[in-house]
Amino acid sequence: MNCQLARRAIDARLHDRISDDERALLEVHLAACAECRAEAGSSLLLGVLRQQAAPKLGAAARKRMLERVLAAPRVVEVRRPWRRALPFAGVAAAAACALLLWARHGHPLSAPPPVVAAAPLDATDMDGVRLCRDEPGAVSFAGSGVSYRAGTALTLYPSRARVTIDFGEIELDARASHGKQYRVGTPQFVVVVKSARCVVSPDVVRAEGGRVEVLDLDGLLLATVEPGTSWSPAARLPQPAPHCPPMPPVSNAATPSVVAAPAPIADTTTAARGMHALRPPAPPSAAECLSFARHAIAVGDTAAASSWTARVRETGATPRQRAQADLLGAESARTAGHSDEALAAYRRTSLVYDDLPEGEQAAFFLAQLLYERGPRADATDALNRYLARYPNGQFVREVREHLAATR
Amino acid sequence: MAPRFIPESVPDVERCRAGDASAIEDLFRSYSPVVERVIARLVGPTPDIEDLVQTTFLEGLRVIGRFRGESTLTTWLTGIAVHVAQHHLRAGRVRRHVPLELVPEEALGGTSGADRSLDERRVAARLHELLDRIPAKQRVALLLYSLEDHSTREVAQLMDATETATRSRIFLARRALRKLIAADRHLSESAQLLLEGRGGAQ
Repeated sequence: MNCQLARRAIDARLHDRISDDERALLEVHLAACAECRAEAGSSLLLGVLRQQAAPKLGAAARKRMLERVLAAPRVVEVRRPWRRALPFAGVAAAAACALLLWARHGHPLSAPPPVVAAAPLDATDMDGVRLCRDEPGAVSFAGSGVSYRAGTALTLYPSRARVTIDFGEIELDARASHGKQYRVGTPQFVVVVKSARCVVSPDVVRAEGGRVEVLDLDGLLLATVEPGTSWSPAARLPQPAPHCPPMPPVSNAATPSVVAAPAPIADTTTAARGMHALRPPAPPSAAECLSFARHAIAVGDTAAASSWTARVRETGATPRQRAQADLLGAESARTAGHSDEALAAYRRTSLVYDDLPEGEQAAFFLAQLLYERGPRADATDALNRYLARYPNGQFVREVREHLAATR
Repeated sequence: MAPRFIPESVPDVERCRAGDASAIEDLFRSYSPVVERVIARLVGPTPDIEDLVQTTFLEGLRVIGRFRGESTLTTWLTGIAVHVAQHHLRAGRVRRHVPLELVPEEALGGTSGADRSLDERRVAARLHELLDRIPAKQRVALLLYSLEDHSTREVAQLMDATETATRSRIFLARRALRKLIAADRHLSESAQLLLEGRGGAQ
């Protein structure tokens, strides 16, 4: 039994669907594989939860609830078919306004270019643009305000309400954003801000008007920072800190301070200048590159994710790490909305690493992506290919369901 | 597949929409056990279960005008319960009972069966503490799949998500849980004991 079959058997055991033969084979495999043993342990602990009866409310509690449900004022929302027409009405109204403006002021392309306000800078059309500032300033950012101190390097993603900081410090004020959620990414953690004001740097998070949450790069909650308190990663995260994605030279008066985000590959020629001198000199390991790539995908920075996955191959990565990098590359393309590129990457990964779990995942994601596009022959082919190659794979059930649905 | 819940009686949806108290009472009595079970599974032991069940029914009655009969009432109400539980978890308002470590053991009996039950309750309490650290969507997806026996497609439908996203959430939740268990001495030992002492059987 290999690891794929073992994971499937562990799952089957949790759901009480394992045969005696499978159980015996699983025991043999677990004796030799530490990773599957950890997964089996975790699954057995979940089994303890599963076996425990869910707590039940008493008759008195049920009676109380029923009384409150019956006593609550009844406002029943009904379907309103005319609501479906609302978006079209909005589009029509916008088109009418545009036509009116065109009629009065001529074609917008013939108009002189708009004058950009000096401050705060409007970041609406600055998706993926990196700012390197050696003076303090402010940016209007997806309905919130971001101010930064001198010596800050940040990349803005207004369409996804995200901002990443490489170094320096920013203050994000999202109190007037009507509950919209913002994310501030740093090389070590991600801060989730909702209806709050906070100061974030790679070394500290300070909440000043509302509570914010700090997640690690795997999305686990590290801390909830209450208003008026600070949190520092020093106590929670391993040291030394991993690499920040490298930055272009700090802008000065002669060069524009707004530059397109370059690929985050270390540039040793700029490393000694200004803030770059603070970078740790050792190159990141393959595992770190993979971690940065995951982080970049989590914050929506697909360009950085592609660069980090490309970097994995330069670091003497193991075949498994290379397979993970290829899978992340495909995921990155998919996140960026480049489905054709994602399909090609999944196909390549499934062919090159067909004996690894990543290869199986790639084969499944390829079939899944094709299936989601519609019931076409290529989707059916991909689903059948998966079944032929991995008859006992971890996604067999889903693949069979898809195949049944396409018939 | 999840075990099918058969309600005691089939309530009249049209009468519920019209605000008929007896029909609403019928709905509550028939479906409160399943709503209670789903919420208790997802949020764990907390004194807020009563509030959450009540919120599920109030929300269900508010939007019952949108129920088109394309799914069963059980599925529809379970979907609402999942959203209510998820919202509660995301708001970070989960209150836990007094930790079992603070309860004197003699108060819980001293037989081996009671010891084992206490151990399991301790493990469950600690697991819920770890699950509190996993993002709400990932946690809910994992628990619906692992504890409630729903397929990934059913979990995706209940959570208004794609199957790919659901699979990804389950995978991430498992990975996070493994990492958290590895860092927890007590649970690592319990997992080791389960692996050794029970020969892999549950």
